[in-house]
Amino acid sequence: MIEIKNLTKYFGPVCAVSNISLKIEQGESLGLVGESGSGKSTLARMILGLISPTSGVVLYNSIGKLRQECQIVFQDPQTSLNPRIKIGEAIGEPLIIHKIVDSGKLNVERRIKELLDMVKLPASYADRYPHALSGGERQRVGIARALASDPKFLILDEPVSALDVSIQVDILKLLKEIKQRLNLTYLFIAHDLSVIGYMCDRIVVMQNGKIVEVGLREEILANPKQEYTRKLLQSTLAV
Amino acid sequence: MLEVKNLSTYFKQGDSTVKAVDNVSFSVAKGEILGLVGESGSGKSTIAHSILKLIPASASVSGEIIFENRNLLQLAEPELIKIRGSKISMIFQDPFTSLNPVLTIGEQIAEVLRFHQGMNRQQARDRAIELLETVRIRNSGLRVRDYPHQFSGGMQQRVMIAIALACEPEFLIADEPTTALDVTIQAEILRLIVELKEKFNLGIMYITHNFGIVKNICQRVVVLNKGRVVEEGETGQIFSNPQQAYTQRLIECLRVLTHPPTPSLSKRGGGVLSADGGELL
Ligand SMILES: Nc1ncnc2c1ncn2[C@@H]1O[C@H](COP(=O)(O)OP(=O)(O)OP(=O)(O)O)[C@@H](O)[C@H]1O
Ligand SMILES: Nc1ncnc2c1ncn2[C@@H]1O[C@H](COP(=O)(O)OP(=O)(O)OP(=O)(O)O)[C@@H](O)[C@H]1O
Ligand SMILES: [Mg+2]
Ligand SMILES: [Mg+2]
Repeated sequence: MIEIKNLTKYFGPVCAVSNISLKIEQGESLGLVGESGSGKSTLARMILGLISPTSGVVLYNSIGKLRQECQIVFQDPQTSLNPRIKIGEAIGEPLIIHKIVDSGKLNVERRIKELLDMVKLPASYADRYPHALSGGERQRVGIARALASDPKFLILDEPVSALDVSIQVDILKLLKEIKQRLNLTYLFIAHDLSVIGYMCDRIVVMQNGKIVEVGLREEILANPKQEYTRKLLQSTLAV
Repeated sequence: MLEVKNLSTYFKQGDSTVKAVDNVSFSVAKGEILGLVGESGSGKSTIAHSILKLIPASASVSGEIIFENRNLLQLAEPELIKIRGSKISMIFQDPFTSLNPVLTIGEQIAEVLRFHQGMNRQQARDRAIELLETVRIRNSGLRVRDYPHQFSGGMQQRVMIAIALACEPEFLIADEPTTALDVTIQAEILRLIVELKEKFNLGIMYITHNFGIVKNICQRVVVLNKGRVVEEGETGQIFSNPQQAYTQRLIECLRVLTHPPTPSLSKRGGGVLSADGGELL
């Protein structure tokens, strides 16, 4: 569905992504793990065309509808929510822009409520501004908003990092269920291997801008080749 | 050293009132790490903000926050400014919005060092580079010149930790300070925080949704639900014998993730996967 060829990104002297090639197949859920600063978010932004690569290309099966078909849940929900726009409007905007529901006001409102409910937020939150939400609540609005435009390909950049396990589990189940029902494709970025193990079929490990390991979930989790992957699996927070 | 007494913080939202914190009391001793846990939206950050009076004026805050025999809620702004950052330092949940976008990372850390530790420009700059190294930012000599937007999410979070370290406060409030970090770096940051506590006999209020972290570094735990304290006690006791169904549920939910539904994985007992939950399950 998406093919990345020799993608490289320099920010001044910093090489954030270094010559990465990768295929993301239709319907798969690809996990991306790697140290903080290893280039995960930069890779995600280039795939979506939000920043342009220093060199290399991203091929998409039907480039024309990229904007609507690809959605991203940003790592930092704060930056993706306009502080002057109410939550309901923020979620409703893609519904109207992409003409996903008949633009009748009631239809839009009903869908906003549905989406809020899916991420375990009360319908009354539609009238709030982002500052009046907790960190984890904002993160969930980011997910609801991305789902609103019926994407085919969804990039989730640390989408559940601010959530406690109980809500985390609900949201991951929801994402899994939607993916199966609508045959979506996910690129799922997380630093938590238990989350990746739960969500993904295939795992890519990045370090220092490069891919150091790719494989099926079972292979990587049972038999990691890289020192870093092994450390991630072993670490039990010995303080 | 810090005592929260009958704290209530209510927000106005349209015609209704959100009781984000509702009659909460607890205390943190010197040299103690208190874990403040609870679901998303349970009021953890609001408690943290209330302690330093960083709450919008339209909200109502009542109760007492006793620190060094004074009620912080009754201090005037100039007094509070002296306390914020120097005596009580806070690592905010959202690093990007709490860093200044127009100052470089180095300038922001150096500013704190000059103000709180009376260093000169050169000393502060050198120490800022050292502190960035301590929180494992690579090429810190070069990266001090970057602006916040040039740092990744996890790197910004570590800058917040470096700033808190630079303050050498008496009391530290850490609001989910390691959510963007993988277990390898997280373990190092936690070790830093514990070291800091031991070196300066610091009191720490550590907010997290991660019970693995609580088990590893906190002596006592306060569990919040919908703005109220539902359980409080020694860490060991809360884990071995959670009194509240709510706490049990929070601890139990870890299992779903640590035992994913693949046969090949469950054979491994899930232990390997419990990176986040630690060895507790
Ligand atoms: N706009 C930018 N200008 C300069 N450098 C940047 C910019 N964006 C990212 N970088 C640098 O590129 C590298 C990779 O950053 P990126 O955000 O992709 O990491 P990440 O893997 O997502 O990390 P994290 O897990 O901490 O979010 C880092 O060294 C970062 O500082
Ligand atoms: N300014 C505000 N106006 C109205 N309601 C607010 C405001 N700020 C926070 N709230 C509400 O108060 C409750 C507690 O929020 P708080 O940020 O303290 O939660 P939290 O425990 O830190 O959650 P998280 O783990 O998601 O960060 C939430 O339901 C939130 O929606
Ligand atoms: Mg990132
Ligand atoms: Mg919070």
